[in-house]
Amino acid sequence: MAWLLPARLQPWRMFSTSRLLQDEVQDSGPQQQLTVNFIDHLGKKITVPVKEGQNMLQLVQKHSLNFPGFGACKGSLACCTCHLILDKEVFQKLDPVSENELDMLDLTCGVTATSRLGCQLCMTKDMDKQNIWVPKGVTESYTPQ
Amino acid sequence: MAPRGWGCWRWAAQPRARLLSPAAAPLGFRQLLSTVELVPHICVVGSGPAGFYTAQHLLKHHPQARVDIYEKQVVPFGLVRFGVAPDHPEVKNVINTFTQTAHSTRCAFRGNVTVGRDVSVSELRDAYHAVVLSYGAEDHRTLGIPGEELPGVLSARAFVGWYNGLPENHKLTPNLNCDTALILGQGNVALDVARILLTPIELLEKTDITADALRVLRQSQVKRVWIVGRRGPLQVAFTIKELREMIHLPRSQALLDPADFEGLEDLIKEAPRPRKRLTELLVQTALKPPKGEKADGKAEAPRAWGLRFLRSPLKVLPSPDGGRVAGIRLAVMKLEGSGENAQAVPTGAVEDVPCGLVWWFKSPSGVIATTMNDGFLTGQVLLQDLEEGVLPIGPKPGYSSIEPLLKNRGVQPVSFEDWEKLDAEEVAQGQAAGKPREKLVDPQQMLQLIGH
Ligand SMILES: Cc1cc2nc3c(=O)[nH]c(=O)nc-3n(C[C@H](O)[C@H](O)[C@H](O)COP(=O)(O)OP(=O)(O)OC[C@H]3O[C@@H](n4cnc5c(N)ncnc54)[C@H](O)[C@@H]3O)c2cc1C
Ligand code: FES
Repeated sequence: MAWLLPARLQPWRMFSTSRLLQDEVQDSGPQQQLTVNFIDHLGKKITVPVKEGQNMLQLVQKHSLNFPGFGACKGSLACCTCHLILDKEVFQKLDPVSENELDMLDLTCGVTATSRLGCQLCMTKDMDKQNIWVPKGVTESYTPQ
Repeated sequence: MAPRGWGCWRWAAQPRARLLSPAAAPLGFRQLLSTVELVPHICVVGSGPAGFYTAQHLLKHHPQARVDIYEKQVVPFGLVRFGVAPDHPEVKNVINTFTQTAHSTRCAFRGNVTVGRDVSVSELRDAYHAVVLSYGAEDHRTLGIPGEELPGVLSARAFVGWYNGLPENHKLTPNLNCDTALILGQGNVALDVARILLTPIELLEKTDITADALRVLRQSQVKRVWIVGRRGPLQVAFTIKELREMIHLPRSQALLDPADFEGLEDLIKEAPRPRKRLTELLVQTALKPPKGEKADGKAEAPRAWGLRFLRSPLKVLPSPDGGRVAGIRLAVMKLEGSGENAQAVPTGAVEDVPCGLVWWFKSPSGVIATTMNDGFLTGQVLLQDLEEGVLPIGPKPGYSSIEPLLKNRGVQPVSFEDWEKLDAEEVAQGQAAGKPREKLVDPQQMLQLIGH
């Protein structure tokens, strides 16, 4: 069974993940500047510059984007609070989702066919200028019984 | 939207934080105070995820709000510290976020204060603009079958509390001197218990499991763990991540009866993705055991775990001298209906399974993420009430009126700074043993360490 995660994000490297996640993407010479548009939980569009390979959770943290509760487990694939939703066309162009991420997505509230976890998603050229949705506000995904 | 994750509807069974409805303010005064003038003093009872997420939301969205978090334990974080398994440290990363919240100058932790004993809810309601109850779910129910008082029958919750250093379970020290253990219930807590029993000790030694638990587990004779459910493989409550961990457990093999899993794949074609993937993994493990080298390695595995379906406990069977558990009598069930709502009904047949230990677990479960939503929601409702002037108007004393009460009653509250001293001590003690921390389990010792 293939574990497709980058080694530094594998949850069983438990004690080091949170520290490593704070590292920035290695600057490997001049890189093309890309952008993504986050549509936040209130429907507001926020465009941020980003380089290829940049991790989405790090990007959200770097720009102090105010998504409620985002990234609670610091990217160690243990909380699913970094839930993002992509466009179908973009989703299909990305590498297949790893088994570990799928396991966690299976626990995610309001998961869709094009959901990803931000801490496991890195910027690609296919995502350039595309929209990424932060699931709607906490009240909307909540149904008291 | 695609179908929801089952985590959502299964686990959000009850809101984790409840706002006590404030005494209605006289109508004419309602609009007098705007949110800007009022410094709302909010009391949160319980410092688990529900309490901290509620506090976080309030502090973030109200520039003046002051939040006091009362906690009966000396230490904060509720089940994140005392429930989440020691070999899942990544789940405990939320503690970083809670710590940030606690560091706010408008937030105070009041540990070692039991609401209902040291201070009453009505006293709190008098002192604060609002009281949020987020004290979690207690689990005092019993198993409810004959023989449950026998030594060797344990509540899974107490066992979890014991290996996680919960003071009230400190003295549990179970006797693991038998080769077969049986767990009633097929949820994630059952898998936590099974995993802790079967994980090679050298892996547990690197976690924050208590020293006492390590000592007992080192001497454990348990070789086989049955995890028993009332319903079938399509109704198990555990999730795929936890199942996968069991399957990959070093030096343990899975005991799954292929007959339980045949034909299941056809039944789940239309099921939501989580159920489908979980069932596929079960079927794959049961029907297509790994080939070659790996299979050989597993065949010699000294330990094993297995799932037994359609069995409901009737009676715990005593050993000949009556001094211990020797087995359990299970009713054989069958399913009526299908899918998540299928009901188990007895067939009339019974089965006796020999085992030296029985765990049971009955408690509403949840995950931290659903608790987060509940916490934010409670915070939101409260802020709305503030804005609309529904909460009592006029200044409230907050902690300044509770402090003397506690003092008179000989209660010594523990601050977040105090906790950070204990935290540093635990980490230092852990370092010496090669663990992330060595949890302090004696409240008296903790209070001494912080100079109370
Ligand atoms: C064994 C176990 C393992 C778990 N593992 C996971 C996991 O791996 N991942 C996951 O996402 N979720 C897990 N959960 C679920 C998760 O822990 C809960 O969903 C979450 O902790 C609930 O938060 P809470 O704040 O409602 O309750 P709690 O965490 O129980 O917090 C309640 C707090 O209130 C305090 N309190 C109670 N009574 C009083 C009183 N009278 N006065 C003052 N304070 C009081 C308690 O001491 C406690 O600190 C697990 C649960 C259990 C039982
Ligand atoms: S940040 Fe927790 S799963 Fe991504």
